[in-house]
Amino acid sequence: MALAIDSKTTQAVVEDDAPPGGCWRAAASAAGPVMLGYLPVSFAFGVLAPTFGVPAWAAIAMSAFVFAGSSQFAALGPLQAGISPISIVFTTFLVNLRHALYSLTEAPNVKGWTRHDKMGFAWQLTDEAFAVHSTEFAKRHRSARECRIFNFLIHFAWAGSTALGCMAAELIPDSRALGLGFAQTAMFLALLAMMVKGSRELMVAVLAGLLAVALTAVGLPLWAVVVPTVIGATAGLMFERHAANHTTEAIPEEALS
Amino acid sequence: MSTPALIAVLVGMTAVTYGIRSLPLLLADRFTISESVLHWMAYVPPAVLAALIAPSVFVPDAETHALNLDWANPLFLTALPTLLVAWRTKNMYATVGTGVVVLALLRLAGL
Repeated sequence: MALAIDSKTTQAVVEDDAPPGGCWRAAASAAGPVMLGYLPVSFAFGVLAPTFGVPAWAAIAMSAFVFAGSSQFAALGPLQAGISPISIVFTTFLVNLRHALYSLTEAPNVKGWTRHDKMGFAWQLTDEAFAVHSTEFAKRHRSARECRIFNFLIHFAWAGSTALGCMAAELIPDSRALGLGFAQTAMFLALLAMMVKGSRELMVAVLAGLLAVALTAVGLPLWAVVVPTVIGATAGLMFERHAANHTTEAIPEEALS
Repeated sequence: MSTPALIAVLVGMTAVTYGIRSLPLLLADRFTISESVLHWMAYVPPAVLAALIAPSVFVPDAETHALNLDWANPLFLTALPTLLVAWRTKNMYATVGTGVVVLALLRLAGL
């Protein structure tokens, strides 16, 4: 599953092919599921924020500017407790550090773009956007314009549902009872199912999942994404190399590869 | 929290998040990414997603970080049918719908 390499070769072959039905259609069909997944999560953020003493304007501004769900939820408790802004921002840094890996991973996909387009692209590089970009770039060439529309749509859905949540906050006594909190996990499960194409990806996922659970359970939740990801991806590469070595040495043992 | 402090937090969170998301992308031009790194990066998406999913199911309490390996863990009971739907359909609407509805039903049942 060499995403970056695939997209590079495709790009060289078909330079200017517009997706069937145009950019808007392609962007909307990729963004639809993400928007739907965002609605309940971001809505829940809007409902919860006032209960932590965060005013509606600040909650909406956070969704509009920061656009990073887990760090937004993580900031609510400290904001209520009145912890220093610097430590809240540092927590945000740790929680969002995984996005640096996304940024690095997407770099080959947007190689030919203008600096301006790249700067825009980075703003909405959320977990879900990254997963969809990785999947779609592996399938076909996508223009900067199409990605911009995709990013606009998901960003609009995220900020818009926070606003809706803030408005509904007074009407909903206990948002946790609605099962909405699971929407994000379910969205991740769907994205993972689309990505696991072979036994190696499955092993990487299981290894990263186990490490993440262990790190969280020992009280290191801030490291529970970056560390398992780096170890998991490295193990994946090692499995791959191991399998490749066995093929080149012409050992006819299918079971090993 | 005072309004100026709140604004400082918003500005800081925005700057830090945008910096993390943009710098590797913008600086990547100055380096050639080796073949090994490209292959390594292909494993990043499944690893990240698994690392995000697993703790939210098995360590659901953000305060105590208590490991919950109980069969009656409602998140685990929700994750099973959700994973099945995700794997069989590869459809995000169906998967998110299943997850939200199953968890709401379990919560209604008092789990």
